[in-house]
Amino acid sequence: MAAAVRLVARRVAAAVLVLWGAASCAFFILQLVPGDPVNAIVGSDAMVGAEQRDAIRRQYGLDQPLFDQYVGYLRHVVHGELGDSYQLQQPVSAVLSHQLPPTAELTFWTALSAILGAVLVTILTSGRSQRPRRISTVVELVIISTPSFWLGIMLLTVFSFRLGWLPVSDSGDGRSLILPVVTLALPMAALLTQVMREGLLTAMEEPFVLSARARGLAEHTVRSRHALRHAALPALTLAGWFTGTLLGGAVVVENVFARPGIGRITLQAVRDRDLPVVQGVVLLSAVVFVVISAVVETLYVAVDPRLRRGTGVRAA
Amino acid sequence: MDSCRTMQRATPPSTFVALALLAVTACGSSGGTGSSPDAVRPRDGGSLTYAESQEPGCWDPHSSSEDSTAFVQRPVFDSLVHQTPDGALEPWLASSWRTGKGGRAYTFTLRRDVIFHDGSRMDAAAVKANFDHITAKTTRSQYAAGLLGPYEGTTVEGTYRVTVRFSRPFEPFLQAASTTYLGIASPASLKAGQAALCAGTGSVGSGPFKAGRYVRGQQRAYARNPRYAWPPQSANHSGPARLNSLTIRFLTDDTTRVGALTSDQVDAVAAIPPHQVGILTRNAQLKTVSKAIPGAVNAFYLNTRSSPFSDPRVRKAFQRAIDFSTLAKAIFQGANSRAWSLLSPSTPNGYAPAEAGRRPYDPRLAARLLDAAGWTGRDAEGYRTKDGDRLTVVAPVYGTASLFTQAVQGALKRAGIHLDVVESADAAEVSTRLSQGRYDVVQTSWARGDGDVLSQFLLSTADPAYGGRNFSALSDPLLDRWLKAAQTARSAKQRTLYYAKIQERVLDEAVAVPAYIPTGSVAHSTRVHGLRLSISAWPEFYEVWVEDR
Repeated sequence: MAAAVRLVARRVAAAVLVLWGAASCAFFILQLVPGDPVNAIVGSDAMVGAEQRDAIRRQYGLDQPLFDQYVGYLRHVVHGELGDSYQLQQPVSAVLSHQLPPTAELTFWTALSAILGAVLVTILTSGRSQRPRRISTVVELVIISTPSFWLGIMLLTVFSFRLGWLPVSDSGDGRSLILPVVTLALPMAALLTQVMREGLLTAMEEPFVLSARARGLAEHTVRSRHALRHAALPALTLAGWFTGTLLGGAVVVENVFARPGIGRITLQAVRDRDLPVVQGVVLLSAVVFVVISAVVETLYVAVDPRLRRGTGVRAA
Repeated sequence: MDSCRTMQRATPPSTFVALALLAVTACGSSGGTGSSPDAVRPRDGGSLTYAESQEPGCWDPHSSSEDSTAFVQRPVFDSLVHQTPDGALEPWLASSWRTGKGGRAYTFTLRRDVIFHDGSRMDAAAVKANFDHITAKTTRSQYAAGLLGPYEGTTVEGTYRVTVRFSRPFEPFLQAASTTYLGIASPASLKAGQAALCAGTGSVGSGPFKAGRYVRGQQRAYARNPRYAWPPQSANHSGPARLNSLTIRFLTDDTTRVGALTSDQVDAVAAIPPHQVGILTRNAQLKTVSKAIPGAVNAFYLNTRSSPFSDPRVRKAFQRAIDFSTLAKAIFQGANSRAWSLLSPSTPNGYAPAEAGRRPYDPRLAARLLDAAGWTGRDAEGYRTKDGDRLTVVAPVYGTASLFTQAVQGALKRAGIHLDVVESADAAEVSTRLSQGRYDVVQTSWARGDGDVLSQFLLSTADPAYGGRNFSALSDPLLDRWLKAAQTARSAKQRTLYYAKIQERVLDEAVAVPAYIPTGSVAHSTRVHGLRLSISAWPEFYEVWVEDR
């Protein structure tokens, strides 16, 4: 029990460290960009005089030494205050919480379909016959090397503009998720398949496969119940990383399919140097990665019984 | 700066009754301000989906300077005055007005029947609350407050009479009052604070459409205001809007937006890429309307304080070295034509037709001018040099240089001038560079339905450090005097005369070099009727009706 508490405490401490590092990096790196932050606050077109500029500088604490600004920023973050967006003039927390659900929805369906698709293709193409594997490998390579905006536009042109089966962009219709999910899931599934099949084929040469076959198990059971577990660990790591980047915003796909989400907000915030929003997104991504790596490590244990001895999670 | 959010379009509204109506030439591919007379009878009901390319950051027109804000809020907010598509000013929320104190005070008599969407009545106190909100420090107005010029204050004279006061006569005010930036919101809604107003969810005006649900990154819905009975006179319709509902969707990607129209998933789209205009025009299911955007055309402003351009001969060489007519034709394929003067032909009180055809492309003259200025050497890449220094001019660009800018770069190279385009994806970096004068040339445009837009660019006090656009770094007492005189002059003819003189001087001195006339165009399904473009070339939805699918 004590060991478990220690483990959780260590995890939480590491998570806090990660968040602090991300917040600090975001703060200091954004200071390096040349240009007056007041210009970013008032906007490039604003007719704002010197006096009001100074007032804004004071209001945002930009006249204080950098270190004081940093401490003040950290204090706000600890209290859960992310500040107000310069350009949108709304609390960053409100902006992010509005944009997170569509991004999370997209991420969930993308990850689910990519993983299911990858598992299915892996099992189907790792048999003794070489031909399906060769065909699949070529297709996977083509998909991985296709830029996602191009893939998105091709899918739109065929299924929306020509055939009219699916809506062009998100207008509240559930079907509008299909094309963006396919656009994102295809390259992810292709990469996962390559990693998993490699692992599966190696596992199939192991002696335990022979003993499983000797016990009279059917070929598909051998592959899916026994060998696949060995192939799953690296794929799981990869899938976790993919999911994390998706939650950080799928900028290109959100733009092409005109979906709301974190990615579009981030793109605009970077262009306008909307520091509070950029910092908020960085923190959000850090939280997402901390949570996902915890989930992935838990899944390791579920997938691989060898990791269950003792209490520590040894594999990673 | 070409792609920066500098293409401000002041949205249109209304007529100075006493002034002669100015007929303004609309130019553009299919010209004109509206649809041809429709054979089919208008019907009420139905909905229209319009796809827009830019989504506003802040939705409060009193605060934002974005032209997209003015456009998306136009259906919600009415203004005191209305500017017709031809540029004339006419009554709207104000039924009449008169000037007093030698042009320093405008007294508006308001309509008595106007009800805001929240049920409250539009009266003098409401108008005052709006002007107070625009000028309040907490609003951080980026544009509306600037439009008010030498504003002093607003006084309620009676329940339906209100006076706006200025420290000196300020003629451009009426046109400014017609824009969405000075739109009149319900006073109760203004108390919600900037966060709520900028979020676009608390917009309460008196317009023909009520603001509905808004999802950032996706769309905003509008519902018909059933009580609407106060359209401007020039509208071809009265009573509530014909459409039941309206949706503006934000499709930033050009391919997506045009594809959505051609596959009939939206009814109308804006910002058609030049290479698509031809395809859409030939499509029998579609109709395209376009119109020259009024205001300052796309032009190069040459920094007269920077080393190469402090020499007028180098500026004149720049002016003559570029074949704008050919470039515009090749790149815009007829969508935008070249500009000869600083103000667009559709600018009320501002166009200077006399400049057309003057100062044409003349590469030999440009070469002679550069020789005379001492730029006689040539380096390995073919650029001109003087004392071993290359003739380089720095042009900061927000985002990436447009195809047009790249073509100009090529043309200048042939003349031996190196246009050094410094691209930055960071708006603050660009504006800091501009405010510090670290540039030689700025390419930009600014839409407004009045010649006074030139004050922002040419007044010696319009310092870029404080949001002004005097990129040429001018301090010409004569120009200052003429610009102020044009703001004060009481007749449209006199104002036009001043703006013509101002433009002639600027072009003679080659401190600004006009490039092309930006054109606004909208393509829509033939089922859509009555869609006309406002003075600032944005579509108006009040009169629109749609046939059944």
